[in-house]
Amino acid sequence: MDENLTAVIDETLSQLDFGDLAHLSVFGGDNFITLLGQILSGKFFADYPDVFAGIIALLGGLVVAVLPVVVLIVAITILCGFVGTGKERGVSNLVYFVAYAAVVLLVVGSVVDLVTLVGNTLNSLKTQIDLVFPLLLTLMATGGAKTSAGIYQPAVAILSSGITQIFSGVVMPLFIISFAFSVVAHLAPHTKLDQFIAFFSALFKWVVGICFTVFLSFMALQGITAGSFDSISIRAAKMTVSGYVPIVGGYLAQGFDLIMASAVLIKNAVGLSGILLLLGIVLAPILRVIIFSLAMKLAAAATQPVGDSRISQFLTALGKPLSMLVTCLLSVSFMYLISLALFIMTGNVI
Amino acid sequence: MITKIIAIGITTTLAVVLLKQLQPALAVVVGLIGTALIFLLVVSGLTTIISSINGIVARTGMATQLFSSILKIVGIGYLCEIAAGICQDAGSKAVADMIVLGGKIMIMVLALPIIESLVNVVLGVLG
Repeated sequence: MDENLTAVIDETLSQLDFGDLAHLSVFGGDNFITLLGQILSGKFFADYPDVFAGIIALLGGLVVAVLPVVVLIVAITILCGFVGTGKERGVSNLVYFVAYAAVVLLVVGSVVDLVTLVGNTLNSLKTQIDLVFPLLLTLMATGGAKTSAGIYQPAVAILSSGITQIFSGVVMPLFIISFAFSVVAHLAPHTKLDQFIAFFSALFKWVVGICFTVFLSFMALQGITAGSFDSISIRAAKMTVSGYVPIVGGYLAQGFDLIMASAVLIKNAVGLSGILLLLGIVLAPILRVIIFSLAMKLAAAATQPVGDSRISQFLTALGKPLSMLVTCLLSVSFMYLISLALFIMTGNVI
Repeated sequence: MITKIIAIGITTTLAVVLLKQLQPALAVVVGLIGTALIFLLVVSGLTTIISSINGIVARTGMATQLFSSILKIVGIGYLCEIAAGICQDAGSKAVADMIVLGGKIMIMVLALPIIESLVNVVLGVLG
């Protein structure tokens, strides 16, 4: 039975059209097909330590990359803090302003990098969604879950075009606006724009929340009904074959089982590879944004006692927009992950 | 080191207070000399601080241009504060204000590239 299954799996794999998916690499190393083979044969899970070592190395590299900015910010603030201590009047105000401008310049440079990174990541997530889901839907239909496949198709379309569009077209601009506001808000000591920043982050929360709720409830509700319908129709087909085809009917039904089992197995392996691919794409940017945000908090803490309060307030206020960036990435990848998980869970009708 | 600074400072102040009643013109000169002496004592410490911070910044390998103009701005800030303080003590507030204004303009000249690139970066983000 096992060898038969392997043979059928190999045959099904050779017939599948992976398209551009074959060229995508996971964690920088293996390509998609190799990964798929490893998962199918159970070899992949022996390599967990490698993955963890990779993540640790990534973390170290990110921390080292962000340190220069923190050091520069602290150095500039300390130097400018020396001028005119305890005096209201004179050149000290202007020096503080220049220090603030220099710090903002440094921070904005890094934030621009982060925004491009997150935008690119969202784009590559969209590419991946466009590549993985058609394959999964085909395999799902092969595995007998025709109704589920038909029902998930519009959901996938919404995920790939609608939601990624909303995120790169509405949510990212919201981030940029609230970032710009937090820069301007601390330019002069008496400018008060806190409520604007609060407004934009509330808007952001609502947009993301609505996308999330609508998409997930749609997926879950549709999935439940579709799954049970498929299971009934497949049982009926199997009973027809084994009951009404004389003599060989029982064997035929077993062969039917085998083919469907292989399709289901491959579908689940493709889904799992998709999840790994998702982690490979999303992990580094998320960690980078989080580490940058923590570094800004550290710089705020280090500059608070020595320098002008504007700089440390600005660095603290950066936390909110930066958490928007993380939320952006996390929510898109979470929606993708949930749909992949649903695809793996449903349509396993044998 | 700090004892020297304190000693010079207190002696200068006493001398200035005493001289003010006898020879007001000389008092200003004594005050100037005292300030200059303290400044000369502190300069070596200042160079140590600046060279060590410079070393750290050079090791980060970024924005050395920015940092050197920040250093110049901070230097101008120090000198202006000191000079304006001396002038004010001598009683000529107008000269002190003029020095502060000059310092502000010089700082602005040096800071213009920074502000310009800030505006460019922000426009780049929005555009």
